Formats: sequence, C-alpha cells, structure tokens
Amino acid sequence: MTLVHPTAATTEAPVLPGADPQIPRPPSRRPPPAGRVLRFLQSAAWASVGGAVIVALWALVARSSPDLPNPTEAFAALRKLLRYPFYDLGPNDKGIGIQLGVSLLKVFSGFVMATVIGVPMGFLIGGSKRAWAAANPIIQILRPVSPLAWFPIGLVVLKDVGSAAIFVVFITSLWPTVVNTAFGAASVPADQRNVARVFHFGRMAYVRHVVVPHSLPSIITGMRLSMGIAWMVIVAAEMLSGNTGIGYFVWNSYNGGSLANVIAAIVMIGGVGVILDTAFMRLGRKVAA
Amino acid sequence: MLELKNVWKSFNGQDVLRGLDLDVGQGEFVSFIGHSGCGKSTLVNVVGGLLEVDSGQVSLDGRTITGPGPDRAMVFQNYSLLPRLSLLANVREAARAARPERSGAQTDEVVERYLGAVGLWEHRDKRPAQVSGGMQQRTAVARAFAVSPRLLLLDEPFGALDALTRARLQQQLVDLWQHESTTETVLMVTHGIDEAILLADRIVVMGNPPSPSIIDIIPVDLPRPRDRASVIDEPAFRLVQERLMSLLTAEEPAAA
Repeated sequence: MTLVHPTAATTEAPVLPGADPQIPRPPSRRPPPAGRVLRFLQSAAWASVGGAVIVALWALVARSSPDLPNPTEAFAALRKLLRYPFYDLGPNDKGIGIQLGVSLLKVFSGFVMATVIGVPMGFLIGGSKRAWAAANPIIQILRPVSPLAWFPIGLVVLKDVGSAAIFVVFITSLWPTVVNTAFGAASVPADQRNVARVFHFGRMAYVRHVVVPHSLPSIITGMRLSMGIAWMVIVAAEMLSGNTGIGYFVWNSYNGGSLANVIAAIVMIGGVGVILDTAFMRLGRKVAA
Repeated sequence: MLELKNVWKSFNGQDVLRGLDLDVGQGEFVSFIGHSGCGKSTLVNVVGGLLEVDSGQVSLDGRTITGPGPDRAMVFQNYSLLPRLSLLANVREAARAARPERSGAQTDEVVERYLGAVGLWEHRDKRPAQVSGGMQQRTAVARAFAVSPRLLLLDEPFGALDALTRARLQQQLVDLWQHESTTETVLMVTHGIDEAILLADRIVVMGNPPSPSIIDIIPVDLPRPRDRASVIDEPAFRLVQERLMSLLTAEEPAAA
C-alpha cells in the first residue's frame, strides 16, 4: 500500500496535477507500455500521486484544525496498533486484529445467511412472474431502509447485541444477492429455454443445467455487492451494539479522545474492504471463464 | 403422419400462418423455403410444440400437438447448446431428460453412437465455445437424434456455416436419417434453393401476405442416394431449381 506515506507527501505534494505536463494527455495517444511490469509500475506511480494529494490536503486541514491528527500522528497510531494486533487485556482493551476478526466473523455469518436465503429466493423470483409481482414491491420498500433502523427489531427479537448486529448485516446484504440472482434467472436466453422445453427438461435439470450456470456471474456480482454492504454496515451496527468489533473500536477510540486511532481504524477498514472486494472480483472472473 | 388443418397464427396483428393446410407422410423429407417473414420458422415451432396456434388443427398420428414431446426433436439455427456443459453433457442431458425410460447404459450407448456418427467423440469433453460453429451444430444434430424422435425439425440448421462445412453436414444429416436412426420424417426450414432440392422429397414454397401461406408444393423426383456433384446436372434438378427461382423472385420479400 503506497497510500499513506508521510515522507512521500512532503516531497511530492508541490506537484499539482495541472503543473505536470504528462497529466492532460489522454493515455490513448501514448504508445502502449511495453509490458505488464511497466504498466504496473505506471499505475502504482499514479496511485501514489493520488495518495500524496489526499495526504497533502489532509495535512493542510489538520494544520488549521488542531483536534484533527495530522498524517504523521495517524501513521504512528496505525503502526502502534499493528505492532501487537492480537493482544487481549480484557473486554474493553483488545488488539485491532481481534476487533477486525470479530467483525469479520459477524459479517460472514450474516453474509452466509443472506446468500443461503437470497440465492434460492432470487431463483424463485426470477423464475416466476407471480413470485416477482409478489416480492418486487416488498423488496423495493425494504431495500432503501437504513441498516440501523433494523437494529432495534433485531435486538428485541434476538435479545443479544451480537446477534442483532448479524441480523442487520443479513437483512441489508440480502437484497443485492436476491435482486441480482433474480435478474440472472429471469434473463435466461430464449434459445436455452427452448432447448429445455424441446428436450423435456424436468424442473431440477432445468435449474441445474440452465438457470444456475446462466445466473452464476450475476449471483457472484450480487454477492460482491452484498459483501461490500455487509462490511460497511457492520461498522455502524457495532458502534450501536458495543462489546467488540472494529465499529466498537472506532466508537471507543472517539470516546477516549484518540482520533488518530479512529483514522487508523478507517484505513484498516478500507484495506479489509478492498481485500474482500478483490476476492469476489477474482471469483467472478474465474466463474465467467 | 403429420397433419396441419386450417392453421392460423398471428404476431402483433400480422397473420403469419394464414389457413395453412399440409399433410406430411411417414418417411418424408420436406423442405420449407420462402422469404423472411413468410412463417416457415413459425410453422416448425408450431409442430415442435413451442408455439400454440390461434386456430386450426396440428396433429401427429391423429393426436393433437399441445406442446413439445419426445417424438419430436429440434435443431435450431443458432446451435443452442448449453454453454457451460461439455458437448457430451449437452447430448447426454437432453437424451436423459427426453427419454427417462431408458437405462443409464442405454442412454450412454445412444449418446456415444450419435456423437461418434458426427465425428465428435474425441472432442466430447470440450465446451461449445471451444469448438467451431460446424462442430456445435453437429453436436446439436447428434443431440436431436439421440432423443430418437420420429419427427426431426430443423430450423435453418446450416445457415450460419461456411459452404464446405454445410455440405459435409448435409451429407451427415441424410446418412443419419436414412441409415443410423429410427427417425422417419424430417421437416427442414432453409434459405438455400440447392440445399432444399438436394435433401428434400418435397419442397413447400411459402409466401408473405397477400399470397397464401403455401404458394406451391414441388416434388423432387431424384433417386437417393443423391450425389452432390452429379445431381445438379440432372434435368429434374434443373427443373425444380428454375421453378423455385421463378416462384421466389415473383414473390417480393416483405418490406425489409
């Protein structure tokens, strides 16, 4: 990650986009780069330029607002957190690795439930016009509901903050999987439907050989979106629920007056999010091949 | 064997099949030819059970056709293989679904026979996207025969193939029909005049409105087996060719 590198910020910060003669030129006019290594180095260089700009702006804002930690302080906090990521000194003092692990566990629990329920639900909705007509209005109403609005319901029904957080993850990450699976199932080409009809495919054979293979890429896309939402939602849910988890860590750090830890946690949350997203992107590519 | 009586079918207010009558005898090979929109594909889909008629009677051996059945199999223009199944699985799953009464060993034997007959046994584990269009369509032909249909329906099966591949596939189709299968009757939609004459016992020439659905039915009086190279010099071939030409040029294509 070249994103946060305070020393680079001081040297590269004066290079403004407009001043660099290479920036305004569209990439298509340049001859294509020789190889993959060169391309990688090139994009890494541009990424560090982008990172440097952000860090420079941040440093600028931090200078006029003394409560906001500057990049150096945040970086130091991150290093400190990462030095002992798995220490455990009681319920209110655990390493950031443990906090992330706890959050990931909750995310995966809710996400797996959402997938296990969402995919068959999507097949049903995508495969039948009646099921679509029955489910679509409900989905449209429930989908935009803010994740945290579900929390009290989960808390009352499940009587446990951890389970309530998992419930919130489940209910918010359900919809992208349902909608994308339904879209995939509904878009089986007429050719393939005709083949199934002409050769008398039973329901099971039709689902197994036609609907599932055709919908697989959309299912993976839905799961990827669901995972992104789940990871976003868990932080908010844990800020409400307390106990453990990265969201709780953020809230606890804020209450403890350590904004540097908050920023360090944000960087960690973003990093984990990127890893999760990349994993699903790879999976999607593998499935599409 | 196959009987169509006063069949009407319209799409969006356009009468595509207009009171069509046709009898096809057992063991006949019938080609359907005509300009785009004349309803030849619609007709084949009706017989296949994929489309319902608005009015009229379609029956096979006296039984009204109400939907697809294992007594009929289709080969579509765009191959229509399931993209994520191997060639073998494409044929096997169709054979298994359409003929559930067969044992597993029987199914395997039939699948191997027809994939072998179209020369694809050694390519059986490839996916459709990994083989040429000709090989995909040969798989679709093998799939259709593996169901052991009495009536085989082909909707412009070779239209997308190059001339050499098409010639080879036409030959394979006739061989399978005549020697390697229990399939008796074949209906084939085509755009090719020579293809229609080479393969068919009768050619049904179809028209766009205001012409009737069937303009003419031309018998092809050429003995089988027909040799592609020599048959075109036969006077009977020339006669049918000229007749088809004049009918199709007189019949202007629907506003394209």
